[in-house]
Amino acid sequence: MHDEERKWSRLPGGELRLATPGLAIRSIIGLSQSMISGDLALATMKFGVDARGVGTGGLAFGGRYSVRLARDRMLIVTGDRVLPEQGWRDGGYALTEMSAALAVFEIRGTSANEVIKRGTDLPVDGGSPSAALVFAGVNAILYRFEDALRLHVDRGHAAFLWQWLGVAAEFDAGESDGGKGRQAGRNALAGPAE
Amino acid sequence: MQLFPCPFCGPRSEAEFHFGGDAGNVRPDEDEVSADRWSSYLYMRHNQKGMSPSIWMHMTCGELFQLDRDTLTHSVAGSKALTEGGHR
Repeated sequence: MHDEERKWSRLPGGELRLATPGLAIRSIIGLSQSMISGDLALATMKFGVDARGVGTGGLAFGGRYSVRLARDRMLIVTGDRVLPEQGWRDGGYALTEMSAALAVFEIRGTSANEVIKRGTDLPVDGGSPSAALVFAGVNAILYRFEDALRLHVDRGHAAFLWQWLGVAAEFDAGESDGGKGRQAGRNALAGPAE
Repeated sequence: MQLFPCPFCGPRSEAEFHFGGDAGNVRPDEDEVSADRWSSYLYMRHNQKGMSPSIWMHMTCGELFQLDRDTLTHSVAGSKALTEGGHR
């Protein structure tokens, strides 16, 4: 059988961490993500989140917030539990559990914007109404969360993106500190944080 | 790299978009469609010189829209979501 697995490494389990002098990246485990499709006004009122949702460059905060993906689609992210009532709801919207479908990375530090510039053509503070974009060649969701950036990506692309982030961090560290941070980038796929 | 205006997301890299063909190329829905009519629908293109309307999809948000751009200069005159109506 055709096997593509040798082309890139498997994403290690557990929480992943990567740190260079100007950058701290980690995977976030345990977020509940539900996608709403359809009547967003009704659904956001029901679940108590912002009806517009944050776009790229937008600022999210707190334990429950909404991220805009399209004209009629939104992601509700919560820190605690899966929202109830999955499936099609009377009133004109559908709720789809996405927690297992999307991996989440959090990027912070003085070099965070440099990494974002490498991954996308969109200005970091571009202010697009939608947070869905192409990042490092794959579909992703990008927005600001408190003092960091959050990046959601299809779980099938998570290993690639983690590797990509490691290389980008290595490159930036190599430029800024004479190479001290490069090992951190190389270790991006070494395994879960201790 | 050129920026295309998604009617919902605003300016985005052209790499995020997928071309959907000439605007106004309506799929035949008669009961009996002649070979010439099918051939025209499938293969014949206007290849307009100058301002030309075309259908595009923004792949990250799924917006389907009409983009008016000049085939000589590649300048974009505007875009309009197909849900807004009025497209050709």
